[in-house]
Amino acid sequence: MVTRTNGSLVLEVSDVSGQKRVKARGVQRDALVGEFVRGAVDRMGLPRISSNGEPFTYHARLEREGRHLHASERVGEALRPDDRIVLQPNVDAG
Amino acid sequence: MGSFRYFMNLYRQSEVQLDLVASVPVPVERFQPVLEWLQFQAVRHGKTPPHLGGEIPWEAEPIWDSALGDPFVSGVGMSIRAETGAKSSPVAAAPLESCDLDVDYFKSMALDAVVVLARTGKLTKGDRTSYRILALAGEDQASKGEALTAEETEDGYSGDGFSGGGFTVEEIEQVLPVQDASMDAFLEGARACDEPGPEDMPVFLPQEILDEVLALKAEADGVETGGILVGRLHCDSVRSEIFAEVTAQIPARHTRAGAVSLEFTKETWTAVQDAIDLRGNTEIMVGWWHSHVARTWCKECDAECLKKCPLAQSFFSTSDSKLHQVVFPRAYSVALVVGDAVGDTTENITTENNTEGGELWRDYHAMYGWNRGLLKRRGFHIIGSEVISEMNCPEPDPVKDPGASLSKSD
Repeated sequence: MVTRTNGSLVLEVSDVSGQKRVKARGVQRDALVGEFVRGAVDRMGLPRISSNGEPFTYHARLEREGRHLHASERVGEALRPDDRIVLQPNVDAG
Repeated sequence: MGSFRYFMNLYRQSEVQLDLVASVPVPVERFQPVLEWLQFQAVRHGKTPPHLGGEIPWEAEPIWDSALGDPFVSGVGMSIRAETGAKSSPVAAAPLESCDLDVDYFKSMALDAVVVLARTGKLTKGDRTSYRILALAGEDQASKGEALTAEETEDGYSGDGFSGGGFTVEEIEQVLPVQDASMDAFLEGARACDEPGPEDMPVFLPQEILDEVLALKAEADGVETGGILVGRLHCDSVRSEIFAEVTAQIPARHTRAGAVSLEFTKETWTAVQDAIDLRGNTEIMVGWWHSHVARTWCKECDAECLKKCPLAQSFFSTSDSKLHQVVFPRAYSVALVVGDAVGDTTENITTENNTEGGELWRDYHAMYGWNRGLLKRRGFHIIGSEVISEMNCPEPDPVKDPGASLSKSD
């Protein structure tokens, strides 16, 4: 499997329930994790605003290390090719 | 999606007229829930292998509004087709599944847009609003009216600004983990709770799990609580049907709970996944549950008010719907709500009566799930130990059968 193209990464991204998974290709190594998460949420069609108009906060959990990534980390420093990321939202029931 | 593009016109409503406030393109993603549901219907009926996601040909044909006429629609005819492999096939395959949507389908999009318009000052508090859906032929049509900018649409994120470095995503088709099983074995001794409709995938919930949920609700003492429902999908090849078995509930830890809300945090999700892993990782998240604590919300209300109060009966709030959309997009996902109903009620009553503040409060339960891309109340089956009390049964007549009467204790 080709996992690196032009200095970018291929990653697997999942929503929190594992019901929707995507392969993200061409993720730039110099992007911040927070930027990548925003892009992934957008491209996966995940809801971005709550019912009261506030943006949802999504956190990225790196399965390989079992930890949450900081938004300020660099993709190229924190992630390896084919890493699996789970997007975990803070979300309210009412 | 066919040769039409869809738009939503949002109006400020006065007594005499509608003033157009904005015209918003309906993004293709807005059709995803109904496409997901149609795809799952095809799987349920054995028309396609048990796969969800991925690319599937679909169409959205306008149903013109007979009163307003073209370009306004009263609904949209949705259909999916089998993947032919030949994009320019001269003979279109017959639809695998189809359904008609009415314009209520777009209500959540209208609510989202109203929030954005209020934030940007184009609507003010007290404005009454309404919306209409338009279908325009061709690719680059624009509706009359002021379009929302990319920055204003959806969530305030810049739609065309930073895009995360230009990467692309490709959905990984999900092979549903279905196991062969006879549904007859589950139906034996099961009790229907709100009669499941033909469009609802059968769901079987053990009484023990419902009891656990109600015990957690009681322990939470006036604040909301919740958890995740895990289980398995089964395929009954004789019936050509897929059904879900709930095998456990995992209480949601690390939440921020209040009387009117329950926040699931990143720590909640991590703990849930850890629990699933500990259980052997053979189950999937089939849904979630949470409580509504009307006896706390309504403790200042009098009896007459309570009888009419919509909070003292089952409902699925816009926040609940949003959570379901975010976490449980698959068409088989369900949500169980347990709450407080007052006095005589048509709700599904689970537990013994009890009194609080002089009022007769009882625990109810209801299930919600995807139907034609919307979240609606749906039926399910309770299995396992004997169901303690009546569900959807007439109240006992205290005159004819005083012993059966569940009386209010003074």
